[in-house]
Amino acid sequence: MAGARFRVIDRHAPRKAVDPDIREITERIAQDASADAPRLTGRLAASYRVARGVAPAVYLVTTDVEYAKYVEYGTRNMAARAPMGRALAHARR
Amino acid sequence: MTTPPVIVQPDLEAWVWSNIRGLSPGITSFAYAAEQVFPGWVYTHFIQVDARAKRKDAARALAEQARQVIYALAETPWPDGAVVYVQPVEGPLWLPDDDGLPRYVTRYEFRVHPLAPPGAITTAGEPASPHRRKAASARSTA
Repeated sequence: MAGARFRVIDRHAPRKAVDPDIREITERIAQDASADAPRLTGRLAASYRVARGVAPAVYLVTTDVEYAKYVEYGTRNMAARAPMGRALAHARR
Repeated sequence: MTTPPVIVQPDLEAWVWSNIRGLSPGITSFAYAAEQVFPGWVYTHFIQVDARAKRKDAARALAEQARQVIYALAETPWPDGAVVYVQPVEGPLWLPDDDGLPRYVTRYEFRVHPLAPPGAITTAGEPASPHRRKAASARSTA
């Protein structure tokens, strides 16, 4: 192998290879969070979306419900329900 | 058929709270998830720590104090078990309460296992903990 030279033709190739798996994991997290979210109107549970990030194999779980952060992390007057935290904890197992 | 031994899991949530409660009345903590890594032995616990104060910089300083105490738990003797891993998984992030009270939120992942009592032997004659099994295996092959 002496003198062999390699040229990187796609620096995102490793990320592209795992992109489908990461997307699947992210979708599972969003589904778990939705299933675990408290339901009064069902608005929060229905709001979790998977969005593509800025690079391959980067995905985000988002919600546009304004009170989602208080349900997730609690307040001093309300216990946290942590649907995303619990879904992430399960995914990290 | 032998009955597997019952291994009582240590109360990590109480241990964390007993270590940080003295920092300030504005500190609170609670566990929001737990998963088993090595069934019956190693468990992963997820704990949220809230640091509240009247000013943002004071809340941030309190969150940092709590972080230092929590990191030290891996080296702090604990009569009930051992903390073998601790890392923040979220934060510290700025998240005031809904009424505007300054708060920093941090979520930590802990991995813990109980301490096997000295000389503990299971009903099958095996050493009780993986560490003891490993040591026993090393002795038998030496």
